Amino acid sequence: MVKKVFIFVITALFAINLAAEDFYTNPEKLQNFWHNSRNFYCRDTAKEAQLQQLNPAWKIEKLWQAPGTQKIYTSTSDDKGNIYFLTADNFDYQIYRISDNGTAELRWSLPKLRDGSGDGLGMFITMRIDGDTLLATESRYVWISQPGKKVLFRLSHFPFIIKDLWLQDDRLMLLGEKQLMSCDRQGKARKTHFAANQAGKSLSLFQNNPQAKFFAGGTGNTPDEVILFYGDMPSAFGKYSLSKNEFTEIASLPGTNEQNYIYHVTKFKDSYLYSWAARPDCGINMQFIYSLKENKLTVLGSRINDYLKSFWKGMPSNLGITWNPMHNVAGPIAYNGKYLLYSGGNGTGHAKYQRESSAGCAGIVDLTRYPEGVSLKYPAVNGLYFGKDGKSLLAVEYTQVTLITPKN
Amino acid sequence: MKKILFLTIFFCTLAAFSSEMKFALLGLDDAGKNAVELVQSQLSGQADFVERSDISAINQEHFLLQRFGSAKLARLFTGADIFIAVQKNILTAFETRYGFRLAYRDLSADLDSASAEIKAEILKLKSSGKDFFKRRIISFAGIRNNLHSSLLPQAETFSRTINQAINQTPAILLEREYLVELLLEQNLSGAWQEAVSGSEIIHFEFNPGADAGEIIFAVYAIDAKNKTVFKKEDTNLQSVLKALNEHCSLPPAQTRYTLKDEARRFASEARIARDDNKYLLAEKLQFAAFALAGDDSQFFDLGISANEKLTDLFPYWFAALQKLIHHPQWLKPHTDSRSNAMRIISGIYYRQYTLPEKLRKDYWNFLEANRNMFLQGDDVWQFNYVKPELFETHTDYLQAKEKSWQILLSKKISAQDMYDVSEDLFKYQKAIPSLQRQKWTENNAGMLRKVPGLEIMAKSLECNAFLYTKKCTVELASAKYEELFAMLKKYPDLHIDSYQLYNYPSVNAYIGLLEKVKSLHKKYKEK
Repeated sequence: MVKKVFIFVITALFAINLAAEDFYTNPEKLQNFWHNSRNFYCRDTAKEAQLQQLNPAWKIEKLWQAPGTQKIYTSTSDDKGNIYFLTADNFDYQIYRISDNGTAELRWSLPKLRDGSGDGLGMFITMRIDGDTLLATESRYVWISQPGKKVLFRLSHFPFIIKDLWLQDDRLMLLGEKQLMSCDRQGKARKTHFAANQAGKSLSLFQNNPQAKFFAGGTGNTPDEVILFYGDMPSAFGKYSLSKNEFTEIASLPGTNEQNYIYHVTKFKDSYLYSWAARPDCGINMQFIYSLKENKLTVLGSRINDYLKSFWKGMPSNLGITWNPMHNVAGPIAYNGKYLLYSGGNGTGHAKYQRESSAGCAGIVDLTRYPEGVSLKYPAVNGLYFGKDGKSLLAVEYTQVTLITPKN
Repeated sequence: MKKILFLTIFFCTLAAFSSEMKFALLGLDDAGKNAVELVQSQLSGQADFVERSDISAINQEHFLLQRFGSAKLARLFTGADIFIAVQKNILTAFETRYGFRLAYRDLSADLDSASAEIKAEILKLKSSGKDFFKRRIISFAGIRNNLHSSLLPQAETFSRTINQAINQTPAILLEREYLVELLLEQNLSGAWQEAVSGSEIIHFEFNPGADAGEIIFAVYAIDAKNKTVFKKEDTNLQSVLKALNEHCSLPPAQTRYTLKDEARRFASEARIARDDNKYLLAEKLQFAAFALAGDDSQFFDLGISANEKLTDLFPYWFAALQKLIHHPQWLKPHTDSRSNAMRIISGIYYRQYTLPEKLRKDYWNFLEANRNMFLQGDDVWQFNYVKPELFETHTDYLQAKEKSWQILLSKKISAQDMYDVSEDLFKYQKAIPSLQRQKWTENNAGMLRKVPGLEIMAKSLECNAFLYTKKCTVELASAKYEELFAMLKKYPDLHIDSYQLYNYPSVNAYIGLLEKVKSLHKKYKEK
């Protein structure tokens, strides 16, 4: 038994190091792969074999394949670690959940809009699972699930493009670039909390920084508190008090706007994970985690530590690992205290144009052992998640869902 | 004829100083004419009216019928304090000094009711007295529609209601763009100045309500210090309008404002217009800011325009330049206002022929008379500041440039300082007619060689002149530049940048020459 465990550990370490060494000793290879990984988006048997060959330490298994020309637009996970992804055929949007046995089951659907309304043209899909409720937005529409129903309900007539949404104190919070509105689950009892165009409800932020645009948010520590992220040069995130209509900055960030940067904010349990990368090649990037309970910000990794210091004026003291110059981390991230997963180029959650990333790769990094702990050479995906078993990874790609397990 | 006109104006001006308020009533269509005739006969003895013959003299001139122009001309020709025009069942009353609108009313369609309404308005204006500025002054900024697009038809209907209601408040309605036009002609002064700077800007908002179809109407009045002095929100538009009407009936706030406060408000509106890419509007508003705060050069931030027609921009630019020359210190070297002024002058110079000939001539006469203001500075700066944009003809420019160059040569200016004019000297050399250029270069290079440290400048002028000759080739030119760079080692203490040694655009005109010259320069620098 001891012998078996010993052999398993040695094999696993050897396998991980094999891939890591390849990346570490040949960083150019990593960057080449970053630029060419789109060749793997449409995968035939030969490509699958090639990808498997690139990752000898990992076993790659397809769990779900999109039928025909169908694509996966976005994916998310809930606090219990369940993974959901959104796809669509000619008639319906469909949201699948990956069950514990690895099969994808249709969880909700919503007929596609056919009224020709301009509201649907934004194609900006954000999806969140809040407890048992699914929330998604497409431009000015909100989709919401109701207990026991398989069909999603559409709430409409919101006067701005919704960038993010969440439930807070059983009210639906809708964040626009310059507005925050809330309503009940039926879309009624609406209340505008702040709006730059309403003289009585504007924030001082909009006076000081007229270009500031909010792009992500979520619940804070109390029912009155909201965490909001805005973009401009520079951008920042902070706390907003619903009762006082006041926004207080927590930390400023490097510039963020849709044209020049890729940014992703994911809330997981009591923390916000933030990933930022500058286009076109994401050569400048950073990732951090903000813990609500501890009110603590920890940088996980960046290529721009000196730059960050000027923003954060010494906070936090540890600026995380510094990526090597070829390590272009972009897309949404997941973090479990040791391993950092990154998804690739555009990633999910804010898949504005609903198309594959033009470049980028997904991967896993042991932050305690960087750079030796770099492993997995995988093309950009919509989202890369930790499996419930604590070992495997789940890649929600553009046309398929894949289980990636370390070989043992 | 001229005598009669003069006497008319003289007596009318005298009349203007009388304490009795005088009205000029003008019907601009048949219904309007009938109504004002009836009113004038009914109110005979109760109000002082300008003679009908004088009014018709205004009416005869087409251009006098321009809304505001006629109001001011009414004072000039008739001595009236208030000018009332009636047309299409609408009464509009203006005070005649600045042409500010005092009242705007819908009138009934039938003659008797309309004349009664006009009468009531006249008596009301009479009882208010000549201190118009004691009334609240508002400007209407517009309506922010924050609603979902499905509510657009309702929003349009409500917008029309608001526009009508704004016109009919008891306040004096000051149109911001009209104020800009007014500032082109004259400076505000006295009580009007204070009243205008104390005006409130009104804006409405259509905001989303508690459900998808509900609209919350909001109105705000903001003073010159950007403080909200009145606000009302309601789901019922009429109650919002009523509250606004009540607010407008109140006497103006006693807070003291200055023209600078108003200028800041215009400047901030200009900034917003510029951010929205409305450059013409931005220039107008910025001009107003400068005109109101004429003692502060920071408001002279004009000349930023993209593709606007010069004919539209010119009145504001020209008026701003005319105001600017009263402050010579703002045109000293290295001032922002000077570079902004030159931005305007360049903008006019390159598009001057799109202007009507008279305006163009007026502009050049102005510049001729005030050119020295733009040429302030020591001899080196004067030489650099002599630009083609400041002269109507090329010959005038060449003469002025040559004169300032000769002054420069006659002074004992250090070699290092002389190299500060190299870039402009190359441009001047290029501007000289080709038949004279060679000779000019020979003469000047000869003179420069006599001054220690300026041999390099002499050589660079010769190299530059060679570029404009027919025999110039890349090989021959590179050989000449190599000789030039070789001379640099004789003067290790001189700091001469590449742009002081060769003229980039001229060198770049020959394919491959710029790269060659750059590499030669680098080679000699390394040596």
